[in-house]
Amino acid sequence: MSGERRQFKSVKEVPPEDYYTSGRRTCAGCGPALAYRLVLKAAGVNTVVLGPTGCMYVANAHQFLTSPYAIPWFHTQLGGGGAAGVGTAAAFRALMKKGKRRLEDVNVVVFGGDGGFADIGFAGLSMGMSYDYPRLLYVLYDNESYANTGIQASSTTPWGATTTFTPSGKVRRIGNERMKKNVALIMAAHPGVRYVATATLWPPLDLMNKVSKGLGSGGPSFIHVLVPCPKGWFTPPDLTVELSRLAVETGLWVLWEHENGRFRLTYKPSPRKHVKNYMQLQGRFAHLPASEIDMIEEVTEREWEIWAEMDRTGKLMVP
Amino acid sequence: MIEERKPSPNVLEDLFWVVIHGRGVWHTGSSTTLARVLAMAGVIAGRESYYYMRYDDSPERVNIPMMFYVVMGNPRVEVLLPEEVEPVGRLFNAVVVMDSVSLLKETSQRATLFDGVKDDAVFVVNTGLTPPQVLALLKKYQLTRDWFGKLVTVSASKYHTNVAFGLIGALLRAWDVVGLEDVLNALEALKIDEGAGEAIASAYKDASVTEVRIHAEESGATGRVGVKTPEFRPGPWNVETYREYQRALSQARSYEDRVKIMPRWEAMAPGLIEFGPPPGGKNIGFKTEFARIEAPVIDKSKCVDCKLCSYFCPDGSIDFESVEVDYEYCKGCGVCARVCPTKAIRMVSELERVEGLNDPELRRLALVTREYGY
Repeated sequence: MSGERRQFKSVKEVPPEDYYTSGRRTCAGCGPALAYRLVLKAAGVNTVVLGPTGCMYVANAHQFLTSPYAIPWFHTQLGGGGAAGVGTAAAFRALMKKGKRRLEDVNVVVFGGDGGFADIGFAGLSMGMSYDYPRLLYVLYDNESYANTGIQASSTTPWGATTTFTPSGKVRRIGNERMKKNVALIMAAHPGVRYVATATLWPPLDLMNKVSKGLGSGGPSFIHVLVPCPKGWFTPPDLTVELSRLAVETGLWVLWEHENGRFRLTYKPSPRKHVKNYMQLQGRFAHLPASEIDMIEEVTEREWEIWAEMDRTGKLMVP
Repeated sequence: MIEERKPSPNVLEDLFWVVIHGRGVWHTGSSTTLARVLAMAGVIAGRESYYYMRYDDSPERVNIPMMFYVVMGNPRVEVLLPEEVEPVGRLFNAVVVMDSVSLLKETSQRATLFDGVKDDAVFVVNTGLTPPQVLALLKKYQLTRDWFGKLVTVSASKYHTNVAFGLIGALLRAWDVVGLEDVLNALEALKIDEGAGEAIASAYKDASVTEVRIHAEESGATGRVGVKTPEFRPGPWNVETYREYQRALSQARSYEDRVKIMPRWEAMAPGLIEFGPPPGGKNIGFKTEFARIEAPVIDKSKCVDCKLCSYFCPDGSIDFESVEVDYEYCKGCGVCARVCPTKAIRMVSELERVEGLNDPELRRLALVTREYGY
């Protein structure tokens, strides 16, 4: 089956149909909801969506007898996203082989949160990436906390953030003292992997084009999407896209793709903005003094030397 | 020695229930304060009291209407089973409304503010509007039956950045289950200071109380929309059956209506399947206009048709072709106004857009830092 890899050049080319439609329980200004909408727009109508438990499962699922999904969707257990994705893809392959279903490209998109893919369902995700099912896409929508249960720290919560589990106080002033786990780099280190990328809501079309590339790559693919969460990041709901833009322009969120063994930065901020532009907007970093924000800026600066090196050589390194 | 408890012949007379309506996350913190202080004051006044919120009432979703509850019981009365206190339809003695936009909207349960409220209930509204204006809004959007209670309006952010204290003062003015003394003791017990006591006392003095006597016929309300419950059909269902139920759900105007519409579980056997909209359609059974505090208004003369607002709308409520806002689904987050390159989109207060009223209390809502409940 050949991979179709439609790349959008302008926002006006984007298909107007939504498959994750209006009428759902998400917050106003929900970043994950926007990511769902754009990913499914890019994937198209021939798609099956799976979702491990998370904020978006509870929010987007039924309110009584209604559903916002215009395409097949089902809920999997919190740790089971990876396995359910492989199982669904395997079922489609078996049915087509036996002639019980006509041959066609069916996309299987599994959306997991940072709990569903970076913490609890991490093993399943890693297992899924080691198979060779085409048109199987894992999307990690990363709002940097367990937002469904009240903003608890996960392994992708950035250093310094206040969460329910890591409140900033008099004794432990910093908040979260763990560093953010780079799930996409770990996924790129899997053998034989075709396409791994990071994305966020900005620049426009970047996320949709990466989804399109991933689904057409001929193997399992993974996209790590940073999505602002107005509730968990303590920001007004209208800043959702603005924060995505600043995360990219300050270099705190690096946009790259790893395609068939070749690493490439897809956006190079020049000149890179100071990280305070991004962090000062968010209530979860409000307790950090300027000296610590400067320290984060220094660390980011050093990491960017390695990102640039990776971009030159095309090889994976660990910043 | 535990006192012997005996069932009261009229247990609802002995149960005092306050419901707090606000906006998820914006009012979660102040609602928690209000509920905690009231519940503690109830304990000090010798009542068994507690407060709670339910997950389904969305205390933690930004902008979504949410509810908190405070219950004050009589310790001498045995707690009865729900079927023994039927009808449970009318429970709430007092209703606190945190913002005046809620007066225009349904609650997250697709109900009016008067759903489950007793006929002699006290309404406390945090607003800069005058009592007649508030009363007119209640008549137009909420009231569908008799109401012989009291309306108290207060501009609570004048007294304290946390609107809870001004609202408590206003509530005490019209409600005597707990007294001012109990509340001040409760503040001490909960170690809340920062001028809270003074805020409550001065709001108590300033709040304006209006006695209301409205009969259902003269309220001018159109009345509850009658919902036709679809005829029960044994499963399995097809798409048309689901659509029929979804359409009925979208017309429901109270929680009772929704429960009535829900089919028996057998209808959904063998599997729980829900039919979403067709591609290009929308979820007709669940409209989300109740979430809107501010509404986007597009100035077509400045629009350059770049489609960015439609692309970035988290709720998919801006049409791609016509660039019109679908006000049935828009939650009023304001992302479109931020991404618009020509500033053609302006966010206006929903109260102003729909009713042409200007409430200074709502403007302050946008200015104060949001409090969080956890």
